[in-house]
Amino acid sequence: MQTDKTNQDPTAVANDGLVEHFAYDNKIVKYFAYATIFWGIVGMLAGLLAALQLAFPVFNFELAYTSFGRVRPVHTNAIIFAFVGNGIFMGAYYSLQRVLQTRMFNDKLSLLNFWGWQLIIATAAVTLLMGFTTSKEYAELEWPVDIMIAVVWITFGWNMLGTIIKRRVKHIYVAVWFYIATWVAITMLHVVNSLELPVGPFKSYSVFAGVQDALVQWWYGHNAVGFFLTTPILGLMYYFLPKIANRPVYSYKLSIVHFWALIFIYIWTGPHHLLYQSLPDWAQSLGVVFSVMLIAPSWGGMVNGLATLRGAWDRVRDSAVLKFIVVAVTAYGMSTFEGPMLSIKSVNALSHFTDWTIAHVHIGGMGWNGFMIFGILYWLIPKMFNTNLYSEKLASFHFWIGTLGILLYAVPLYWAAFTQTLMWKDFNELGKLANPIFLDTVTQILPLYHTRVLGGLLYLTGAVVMVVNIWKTIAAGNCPDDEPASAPALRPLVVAAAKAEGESYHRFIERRPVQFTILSLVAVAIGGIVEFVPLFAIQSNVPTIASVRPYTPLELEGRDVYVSEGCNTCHSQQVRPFRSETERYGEYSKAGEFVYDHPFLWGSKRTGPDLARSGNPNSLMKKTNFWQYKHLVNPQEMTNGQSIMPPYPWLAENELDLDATPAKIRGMMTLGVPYAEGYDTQAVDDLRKQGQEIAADLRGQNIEVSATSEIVALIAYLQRLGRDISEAAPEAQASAAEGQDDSSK
Amino acid sequence: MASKVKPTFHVQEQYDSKLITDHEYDGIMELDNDLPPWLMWLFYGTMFFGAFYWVHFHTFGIGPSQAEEYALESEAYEKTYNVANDNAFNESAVALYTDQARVAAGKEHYLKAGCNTCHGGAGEGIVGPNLTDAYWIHGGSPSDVFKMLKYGNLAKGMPSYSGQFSDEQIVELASYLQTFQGTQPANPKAAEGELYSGAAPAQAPAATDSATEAETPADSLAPAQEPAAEPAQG
Repeated sequence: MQTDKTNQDPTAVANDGLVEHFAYDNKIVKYFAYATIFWGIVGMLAGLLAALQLAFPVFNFELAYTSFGRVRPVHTNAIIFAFVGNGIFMGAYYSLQRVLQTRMFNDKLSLLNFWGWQLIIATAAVTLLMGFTTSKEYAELEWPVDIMIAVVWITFGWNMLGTIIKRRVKHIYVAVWFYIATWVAITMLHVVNSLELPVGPFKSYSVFAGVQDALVQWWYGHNAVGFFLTTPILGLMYYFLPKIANRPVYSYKLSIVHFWALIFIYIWTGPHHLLYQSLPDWAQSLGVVFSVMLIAPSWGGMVNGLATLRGAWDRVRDSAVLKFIVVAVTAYGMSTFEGPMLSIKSVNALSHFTDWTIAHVHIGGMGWNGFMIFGILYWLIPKMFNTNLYSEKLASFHFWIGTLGILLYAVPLYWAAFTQTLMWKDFNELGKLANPIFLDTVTQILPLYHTRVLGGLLYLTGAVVMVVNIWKTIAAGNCPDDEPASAPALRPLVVAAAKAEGESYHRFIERRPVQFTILSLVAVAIGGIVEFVPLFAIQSNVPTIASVRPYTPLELEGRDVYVSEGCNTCHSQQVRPFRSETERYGEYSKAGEFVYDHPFLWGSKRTGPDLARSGNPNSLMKKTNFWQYKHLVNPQEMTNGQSIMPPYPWLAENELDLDATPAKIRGMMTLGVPYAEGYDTQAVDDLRKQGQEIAADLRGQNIEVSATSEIVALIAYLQRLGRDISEAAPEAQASAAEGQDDSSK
Repeated sequence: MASKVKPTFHVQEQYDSKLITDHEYDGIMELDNDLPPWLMWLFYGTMFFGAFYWVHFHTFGIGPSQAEEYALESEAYEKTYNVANDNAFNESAVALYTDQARVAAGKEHYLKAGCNTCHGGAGEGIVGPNLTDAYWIHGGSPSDVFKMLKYGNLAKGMPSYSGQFSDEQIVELASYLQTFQGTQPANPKAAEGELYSGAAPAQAPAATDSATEAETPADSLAPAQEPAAEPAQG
């Protein structure tokens, strides 16, 4: 189908007129297509399970491997990196070869990219369910997997840049710009955010602590959205939308402006995940203003996409493919407007920690990412298999049920978010919290959680219908591994020539891919540098608190249990400076409280109450060891059957791995936590001693539990949280030994 | 479907601007449309907002910092709710409710707060003391019970419920506890503490010296009585 273009190809001046024959690698595209379909279903199933667990805790199955705290990261990682990730590779491998008029640089690298990525996903699923996690959202995978990701990602970049360099087209197309920016930014984000010190085969501690770790994580976290869920999908849009609609791209100038503005501004916006938290005000403000400035560059992509359809709108009515793509681009426009709105502090004060964020990301995930990939699949599979789609009707059905699914998913969650946040903030006429029991605000929105399950189910149903449709299409067709193509060879000298007179600067760098890549790196690096350097270098950004001390070995182990079970998935550790929060939880959180927190555990969602002050005797969150024990083992029993928290009975049976403790202490010391020299040898003794105190306390209440069990460690940690700030500084401590329920001395 | 891409873009009439002739990538061409003015104005507008925001909050420091905002909110809060007066509830003169609805609400609190896990579903006592007998470790007057519920005694394993429940709700809870008195549950825990002689038999409102006078409006928790001396906030 690729016609010989020597006569009409405008780039012909750069060609020597000799037509070269080659073949596009369709096999690799096909592999990635299968993978995106397969992992899409898996990821959506995991999401459905997670939604069911929130609605009906019985779906946690009382198993560590299937409890919400572990299932949720499996869902997010599977959707982001497995479903969308393979979808990106599918579209990129297909479009790169065609807009560059060449086969991929190296088939072996392509296969390494494919199989390496699948191996990472499989390893991720297994390790996350086993509780190996760093706790950092969308970067939960532990250090060996992080290394695998880096290797495979660099393989992809190498393969892509190699392909670009050996291209037969003088200039690189806008889709390729987006792929380049994606690769550069993700490499940077992944490497920096994964800087962690291994202390065991699948255990590491972030090299950053507290506030700094939070900033690095959300610099990463938000730009995982920006550069994994946005820029590559825009790249796909720029290839597939004009190709499918058979219309020229609306505005080349807009492509240039919105591309550079988008990648430059995106990277600054991370702090909007930390508004009203213990991040310095100036960093928060950067997050706010850059998020707001991101609206127009984001909409540039939507406008260029939708305006490209001018003259083809009549076909949208009949084509499921175009319908998917139109709704995807519209959803992109909606969520890129909503995002900046959520970044305004007064809105964020309401939205943060609620289901609003969840609804927001699902407009992006289900609408923009999901529908884009579905649309591309419905077009690409018949094309590659040289046949027609098995059923346009089924595709149309998928479109409508998918759209309905998104609505039924998102609308109830918006409603839930509004309800819950207003309940959290409501004071009665006496100035008391109108809903002092956190659980009441959960049971109130439970019906909406049920509706959300239905929305997810509809969306998944659509995807299953797609599997059938694609399956039938594949069965009827035949996809040769290689698709013959031909194009005139490109004369390297012409490409590398100095900027010609009358040639715009941008046009010039479009034929200098290496410079283009370097410029992209500069554009995406600036924001992070400007935010990190002052925060790391200037002491006053994290005012120290003299009474804040390192965790005891038992508390540290308990913290690791907390991370491993994914407690941070549902419980924040960050009291914001609002009266409604200080009434409920206690003193608002200060930056200096987190200086030994490798990693930080502020969380991003309050499905359960905040735990930042769970160990502070002045806080209403303070509970007894007995209460914590009973509640962890069976939360329903403590709440008249209403709690939706999964039970954790295994914590009482699992023993800590004390052989690993000294290495953890040494690791923390390497990271600058001031344990006394040689403390690692004494740590286990101290751990046992503290554990015995808690076990003795529980024994007094008829609970027999091992002093070195996971539950005892977790209780020790919960009893420590948020306490130091109310205590005397170390010198004064000896005199101020207070007795009640104090287990950490 | 026939989605074969032919370079049909030479039909320029249908576009309001020209195709850029030397841009062609696998059949995809580009138009030289200008940037939509409304979009550019939006962009400039957001930049202006950004500059204003920064100057307002940081360069000139006109807008409050986060900590200042909290101080302002707290000030307003204290003004609105007159916190000192809120604590006027007289904790040493608690009157229990006899109203069935109130007692039923108390039962709900009992279960919701998980009291049953320590004290048993029928108040028979498990880890926590038996609530059906007339013996009390920390005193059995409505005020004693109220204070124990409200402030707890962490050293003994009794959490504070002041955060979960309002004063009124704690009285409801205490009123429900009163209904345990004198019942005969299965597996009762042995009595602990001292006999509280003022305890009346089940179902009757407790009559303590201080409570009797405050008992008059049995249905309404009356914070309007003489202000207590110490504000118990926080």
